[in-house]
Amino acid sequence: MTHGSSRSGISRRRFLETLGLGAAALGTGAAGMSELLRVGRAAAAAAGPDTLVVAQDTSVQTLDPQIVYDNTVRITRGIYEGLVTLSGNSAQIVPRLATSWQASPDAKVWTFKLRSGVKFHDGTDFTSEAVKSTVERLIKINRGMGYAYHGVVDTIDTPDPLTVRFNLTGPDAAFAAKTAAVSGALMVSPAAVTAHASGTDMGQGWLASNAAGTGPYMLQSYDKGAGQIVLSAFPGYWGGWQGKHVKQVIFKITPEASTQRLMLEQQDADVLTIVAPDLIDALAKESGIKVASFPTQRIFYIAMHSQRDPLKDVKIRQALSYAFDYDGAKSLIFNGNLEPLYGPLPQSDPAHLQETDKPYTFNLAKAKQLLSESSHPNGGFTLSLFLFQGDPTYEKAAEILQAQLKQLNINVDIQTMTSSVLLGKAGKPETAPDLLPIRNYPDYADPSSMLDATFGRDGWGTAGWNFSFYANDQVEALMKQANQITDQGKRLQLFQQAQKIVVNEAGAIFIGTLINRVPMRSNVQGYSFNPYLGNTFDLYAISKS
Amino acid sequence: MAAYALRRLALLPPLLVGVSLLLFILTHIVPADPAKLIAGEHADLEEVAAVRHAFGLDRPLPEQYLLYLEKLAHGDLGVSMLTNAPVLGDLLQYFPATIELAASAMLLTVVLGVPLGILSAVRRGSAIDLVAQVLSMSGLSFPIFFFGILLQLVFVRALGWFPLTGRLDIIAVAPPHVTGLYLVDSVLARNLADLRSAALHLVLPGLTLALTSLAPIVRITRSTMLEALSQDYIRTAWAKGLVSQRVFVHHALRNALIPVVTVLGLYTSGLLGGVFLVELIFDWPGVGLYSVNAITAFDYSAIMGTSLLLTLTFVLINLSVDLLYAVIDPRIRY
Amino acid sequence: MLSSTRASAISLRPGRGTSYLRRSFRLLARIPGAWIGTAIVGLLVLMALFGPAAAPYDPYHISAADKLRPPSPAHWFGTDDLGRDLLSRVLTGARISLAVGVVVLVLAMVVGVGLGLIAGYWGGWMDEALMRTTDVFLAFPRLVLAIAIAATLGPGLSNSVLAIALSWWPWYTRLVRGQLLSLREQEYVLAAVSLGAGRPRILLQHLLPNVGTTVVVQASIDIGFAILATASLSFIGLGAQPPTPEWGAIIAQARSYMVDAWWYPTFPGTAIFLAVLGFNLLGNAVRDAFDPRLRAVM
Repeated sequence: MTHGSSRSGISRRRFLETLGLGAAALGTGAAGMSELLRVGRAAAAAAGPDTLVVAQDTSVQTLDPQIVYDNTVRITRGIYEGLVTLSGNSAQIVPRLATSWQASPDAKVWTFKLRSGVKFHDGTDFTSEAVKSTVERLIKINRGMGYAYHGVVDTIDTPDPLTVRFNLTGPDAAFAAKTAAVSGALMVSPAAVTAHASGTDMGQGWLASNAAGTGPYMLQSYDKGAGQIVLSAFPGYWGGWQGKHVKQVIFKITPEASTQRLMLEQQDADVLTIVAPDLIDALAKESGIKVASFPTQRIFYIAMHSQRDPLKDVKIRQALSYAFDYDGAKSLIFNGNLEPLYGPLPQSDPAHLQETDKPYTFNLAKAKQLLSESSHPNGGFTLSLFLFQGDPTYEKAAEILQAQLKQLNINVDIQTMTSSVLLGKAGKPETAPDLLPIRNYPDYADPSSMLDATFGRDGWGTAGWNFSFYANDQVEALMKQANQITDQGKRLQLFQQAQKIVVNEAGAIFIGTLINRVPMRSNVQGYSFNPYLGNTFDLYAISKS
Repeated sequence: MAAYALRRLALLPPLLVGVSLLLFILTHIVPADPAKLIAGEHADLEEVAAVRHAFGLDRPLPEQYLLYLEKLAHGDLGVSMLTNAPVLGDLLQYFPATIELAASAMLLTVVLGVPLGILSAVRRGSAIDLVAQVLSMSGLSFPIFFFGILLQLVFVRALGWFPLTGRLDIIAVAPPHVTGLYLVDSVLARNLADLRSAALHLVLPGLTLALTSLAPIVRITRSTMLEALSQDYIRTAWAKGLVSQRVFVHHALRNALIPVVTVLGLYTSGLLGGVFLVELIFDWPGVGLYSVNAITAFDYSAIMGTSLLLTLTFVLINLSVDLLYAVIDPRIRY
Repeated sequence: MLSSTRASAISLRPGRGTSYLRRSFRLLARIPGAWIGTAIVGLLVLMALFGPAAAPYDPYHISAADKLRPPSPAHWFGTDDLGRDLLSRVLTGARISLAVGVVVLVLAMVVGVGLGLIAGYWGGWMDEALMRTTDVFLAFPRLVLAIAIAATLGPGLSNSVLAIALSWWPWYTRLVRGQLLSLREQEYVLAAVSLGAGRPRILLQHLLPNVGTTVVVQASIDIGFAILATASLSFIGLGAQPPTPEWGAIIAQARSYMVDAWWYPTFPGTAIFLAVLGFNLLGNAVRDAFDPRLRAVM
């Protein structure tokens, strides 16, 4: 059976000719295409100096300002504003929609004077009525920052369109700080809420994908399928458009960190929101890209479930605290870019603890000793650990702990899940994991915010941020006392005492205070970061040179 | 022919019932309590019990299955926990992207694979044949998720020829929705920029997805072509000069292509399975990515809904291929 | 397929067997793919058996100082983002992959061949019921079904092994049943029946060995694909969990670092490729060696 070349009609010569021609055509085509493609790519990059593309790390559940409590707040803070805000990178409260404010001597009545001439995106006027309806809405829905107002605000008076008065249930020295919080009381147009309310939802259905705020940017489009949100400049913004501002902001939802990295390189994005230290370090070395570094109020720790066996046993929690390789973690996870953390409050907080207050260092011998004195002297148990999906810092911390605990004959079972599901499970003591690597930052600029939320009894689970389900009567008493006095010096002392108890009882494994490093294109100007304002940055202040 | 078609169609409903039953059984092995999942994280015991009753989760299994079938018939696939929207709506939104991706992969498979197989058969034993066989065997064995990553590294990062992820450039605005297939919609809207952007974005994901079906197509085309070329009556006719070389090749081709068509239907299985991996790597907003995100969220409604949709697609494609096969091959009389 | 089993059916009659087998092996030796395939599979088996012991480092040992090192004499495959030696991890992964591939196939064959034999030989309503069930499973694209089952069972290597096996068995049922149907009518079977041989005896003595060849050939090709399926499930987060060094799981972690650490996804990726290729080549070569049509050509 032969099918030699003499049989087939196409002669070898002709075949080779065709091949040659084909190759030439292909080559020219490829070269031409490459040029065409390059032109196309450049076009993509030239989104223009007026457009800022932000690669957003988390997907959007809703755009409702009274519900948003995650990183979506980066977007909502461009659309909505609060009565006051924080200045620069400090805790100093400055005017926004309110021009001045005053507390009664007993700190139970707070009066705010509002800015005149402010309009919502739907054309209606911003008045005290809007403030009242927004805050009442926040209290009624009672999610996210609602806890700061629920049970705190008794009634709200609107004596005139530019004055609003909050009558609180009890004295609250931190009320102004609460109104400056990153999310919560961001003013939404009452007309829009009423017009689009469906049944008793108070407009939640409509506000999930629409917006009506007073902020510099309007919601131009929200493409769920493509994962893209476009904000465009609101011509009637009370702040005006003098100076240099981007006119359009596009948020592209890109959970995958390496994709974000490539986007920045390819100029498909101008600012990234990733956390992965290795990728950020790699980007820092590239031309056309800069990495801005900011201190934060964020603590990085592993919560330990103190209401459930075996971590109920203090000795075991202390043993775990000695079994964690802190320096190794600092270098492995963060490449050295980590501030110390000696207790629940971050290094940058006035009430932070000192190095001497934290006994725990990486000492396996000590860990073994403590374990031998505990209820499980030989280990032999398994701990569950939940991991937030997509964050390499948590993953590495988990694997580091897992590897060390193996030496103590303790197994760690790691389960990865999406943020919303994880928080749902971790929210209740019965379904929460034994170990949870997590971050926290204060909701408002006062030490009580972080302490209450992370280690207070009222903050268990997602009521606050207490995933250790830690509760200690002495700590509660100290914090209550601190919230009732005004002498700042004394308050700081009380906070420190409370923290020492938490540290001695190993409420969590405290790893470090995070440094915020933001990769962006070199031509992005005006990026600022306030550690008290979560993960957000002021969009309006940004321009591209 | 009509009788054959009718018989094949008649097999469809019981098959679909079987598929739904299998999925129903799966949802009931789920370790989590579905009532708690639906009621949400803030619900207390009473609310969970109410949800359990409202969704009929406290009724005997057979009854639950009937309820489930009824809901399916009405297009109620449940609500996705992630998006807080009905799963059916989500699927309809993301499905066109998957169709576009799978169709492109299919096209690439045929356009690249068939000529390679024919060439390989015609030039049997030559260097080209060997190369084609090696490439196709390698392609079949190569993990597509690794392949996709490699393509990104080479063609995006190193060469910069193609975009990294997504269906369109970030600043581009999608053409007005007619079919959801950007290639089609941009032509309909006469938007050349969108057309080019969509086409460029389809290349790498399409190639990645096509990888596993490329190899079998090349091999099958080659072997059926070889078989057709070796058939005695053809060779005799040609040797006798009764048939020109063109007719020879043409006839061989016709016979060779029939099994290729059937095989394409079979390999859609690999294509549909591959979408999970390819959409994940290229951030392609299709049902595969939707489902993968649903996995870490334990969003069983979304996962099962996607499985049902992809299976339905596969069943329909196989049916079409069977019918097509009957049409192409005049020798088949059912 | 039919002809090969006819050929093998002949082979199992005493007296004629050995020369046929010897001829088959000689034919096998002439197929280049057979050598490469055997070599790769052999290497894989060696890695699986001795790999973990031969590994230069503890695959789970985290080392801050050695983070993301490129391949060097100290670390032939480089290190990962936690400073773990990738050669050791890939070697340990070989054991996992091979074990997983074999277990999946064994499970699939036990269920699939068992049911196929029952369907093919008993016929009647049993056959009908089993075939309808098989059709339902086969209606799903295979990976879609595996993912649905694995997602239901939850993440974890054993869960995904079970899920993949459950998506694989119907192919064997169909294969076996098809063969049996044609074999049933073969003369020698009819002869045995007329001589009074009972059903089980016919099944075991005459039918099973013939079907066995095809099944084994198919299984040897499939092991590679089972390994691929496991790696795919691990890649999307369903299979192996940290710190297990399953090849697909390593690639998933490597994705974030691939730009700066080309070695991180490349070695496990190549390992998967070679493993699948090895089983493919070997299995296909064996199949070709036993296919009478091609034997005539050679």
